Amino acid sequence: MRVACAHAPQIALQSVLRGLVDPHEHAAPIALAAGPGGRALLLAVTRTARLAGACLGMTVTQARAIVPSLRVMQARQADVDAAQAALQDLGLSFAPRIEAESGRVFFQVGDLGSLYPNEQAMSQAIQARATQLGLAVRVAIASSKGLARVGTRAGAIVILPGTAGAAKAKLEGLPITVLDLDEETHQTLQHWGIKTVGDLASLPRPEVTLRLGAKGAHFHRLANGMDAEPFLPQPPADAIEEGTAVDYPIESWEPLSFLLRGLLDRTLQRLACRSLACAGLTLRLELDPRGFDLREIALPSPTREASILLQLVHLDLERHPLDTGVVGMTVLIRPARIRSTQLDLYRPNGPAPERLATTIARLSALVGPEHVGAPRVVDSWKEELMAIEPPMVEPAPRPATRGKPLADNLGQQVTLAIRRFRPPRDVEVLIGPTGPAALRGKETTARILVAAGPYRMSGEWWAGGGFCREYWDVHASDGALYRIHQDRETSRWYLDGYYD
Amino acid sequence: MSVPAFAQLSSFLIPARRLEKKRGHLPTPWPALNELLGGGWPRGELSEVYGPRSSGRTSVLYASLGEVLKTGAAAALVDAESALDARRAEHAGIPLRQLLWVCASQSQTLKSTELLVSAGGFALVALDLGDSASHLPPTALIRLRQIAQRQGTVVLLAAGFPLAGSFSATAVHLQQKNVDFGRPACPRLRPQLGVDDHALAQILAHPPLVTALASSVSLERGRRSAEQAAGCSLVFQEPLRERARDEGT
Repeated sequence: MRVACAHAPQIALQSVLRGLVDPHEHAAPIALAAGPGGRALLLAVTRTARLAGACLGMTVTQARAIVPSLRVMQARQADVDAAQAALQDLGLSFAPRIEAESGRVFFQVGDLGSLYPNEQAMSQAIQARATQLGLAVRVAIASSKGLARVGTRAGAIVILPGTAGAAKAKLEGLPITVLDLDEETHQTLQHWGIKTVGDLASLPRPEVTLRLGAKGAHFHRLANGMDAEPFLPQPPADAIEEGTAVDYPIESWEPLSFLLRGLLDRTLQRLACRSLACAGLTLRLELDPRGFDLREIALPSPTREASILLQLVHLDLERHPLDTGVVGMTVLIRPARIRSTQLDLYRPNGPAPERLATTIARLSALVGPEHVGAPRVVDSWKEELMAIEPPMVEPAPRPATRGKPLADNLGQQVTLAIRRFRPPRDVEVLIGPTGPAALRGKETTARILVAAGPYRMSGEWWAGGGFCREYWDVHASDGALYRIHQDRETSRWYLDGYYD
Repeated sequence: MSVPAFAQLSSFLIPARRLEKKRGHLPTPWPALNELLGGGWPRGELSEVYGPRSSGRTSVLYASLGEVLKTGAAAALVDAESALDARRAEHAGIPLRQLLWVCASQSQTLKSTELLVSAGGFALVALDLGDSASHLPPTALIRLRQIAQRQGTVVLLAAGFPLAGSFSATAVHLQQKNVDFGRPACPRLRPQLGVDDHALAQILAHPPLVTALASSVSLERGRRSAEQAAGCSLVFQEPLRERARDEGT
């Protein structure tokens, strides 16, 4: 078994750096403080800040005295959780089963040999994928979890051979601290004069166990390239969440979209790692000075395009604008699988499901999601009613018969269509001695040449929305054949549409 | 260029007519209209059907959609006026679950159509512009035609006036010819004229509404050989009314 371990050092600091939209900000000296105020201690510093003189354990005031341009930030637990979840997604992009611990993810890579020429290339691919997710990781590949964990402390990319002897040979020159010793064991080993892993490995195990107990035996086994820590895979999280906060309230769309785009890019990158797409989006906007606004963005079909999601959010915000500024936002994405389909030899090629899903999402962003779909007949006595349901992304079932013209197949004429006015237009109708004689409305003003009817229809009185109508088909002097009806309760006339 | 060299070169040339044949047509439900169009709506081209209200252009559009969808191919309808009647569309042979229906405003129709055609795989994208559209930007039409040619999709426009002009490969003009009300119309059947109660009850049970519409078709643009007719007639029938009558009687 070969196990890879990806370790994101200083994950709290990395979670803060992921939230910085401008890449130039990463080059600035940044420190992570334990709390607000000048007396808070620094928990982590970037390389730039460290080189400038700031170091861990200083207070913010002390660090700023040395590095005036130091930018001090605080990590939110949500950011750290998102970074940890992104690390898990990194593992899921390479293997279906992962095990995560704080700042680390383990996954089996034994069967990835056919995809990469060697384990070095595999490790580089893992690092490249982590960079896409906004994380900097160290990667180690070993025959067990414990050895892989040790490897991540030894360097950026460490490959430990599968056999215990070879692994021991590779580890023996490393300092003893790579074994992540506890304070007591470390002091004891220092007292013994043990400085490298090789020194520890050369000691007799029974003697080490006698003096250091079970912990000592464990470290001795690791030093000898042996480890029996089991790999315990965990199920991935159902939803993907990312959030950010700003120091000042945002009141216009442009800066908001700038932040939102960064969040969506990150979440969609994580989705792509798991070969999934976004099936729905929940946006939580933290309002100034308090409160929040929750928005559900529905998608007709799963997509992975941030611009489409951004456009849908923009449409939603235009329809339901906010009263106050936004000081933070959290995006929760519901993942879904885009199903691949088998091509059928006996039917015409249709659009590829993924391409169609993207097109539908783009159309939804353009015209609104409620205006894209498949029409559906509503079970109602009102003949103008219809509904729209989510479109079918997958190909339709194969037709029973090959296409002959309808007229040939059925031996009948083709259906006469009617164009509906939605909603039915108000119209004035002049009644003559023989029925409707003239129409006047926004759509038309014409004399009626022939009026056929009435066709009385009533119903749905049992459901509370009862109606009683008299329908007429009228041939007007403008040449059109209109469908009109009179509401028997209000005596008002409506233009339903025209035959066409 | 010498004559033998030209003859040699010409052996490598493919006649345009053969190229067109290779691309094929999407047949309509009417053999007469197919004959008029040279097989149906040309694939990879912009086609147009226009006419005044009640000329049957929407019926042609829905019947063409039904014809395509029943073969298992994909089709979409961009509806600028949300004028679709689902019941009748179903009777026109459109499997509603398979139809992608986009209700777009007039300003969004061309963009929506472009997105659909660009997706590829659609045999027919119908663009129902209704009566309100009066002008389509030529640049958008050129782009749409180019995408349709690349994807091999039929883009069928239905409008009150010819809007695509020379950008369409085929333009069909419809004119209302005859309306059949099936039964005697209102004037002879009103109670004011002395029809007894029993007759009135029968009339109300089987009302004399529209049952059929006939239209004449003329090909305004498109390939037509000398021996082909310049036009034909189409008949559209009202199915719901007929069925109600059958059930009633």
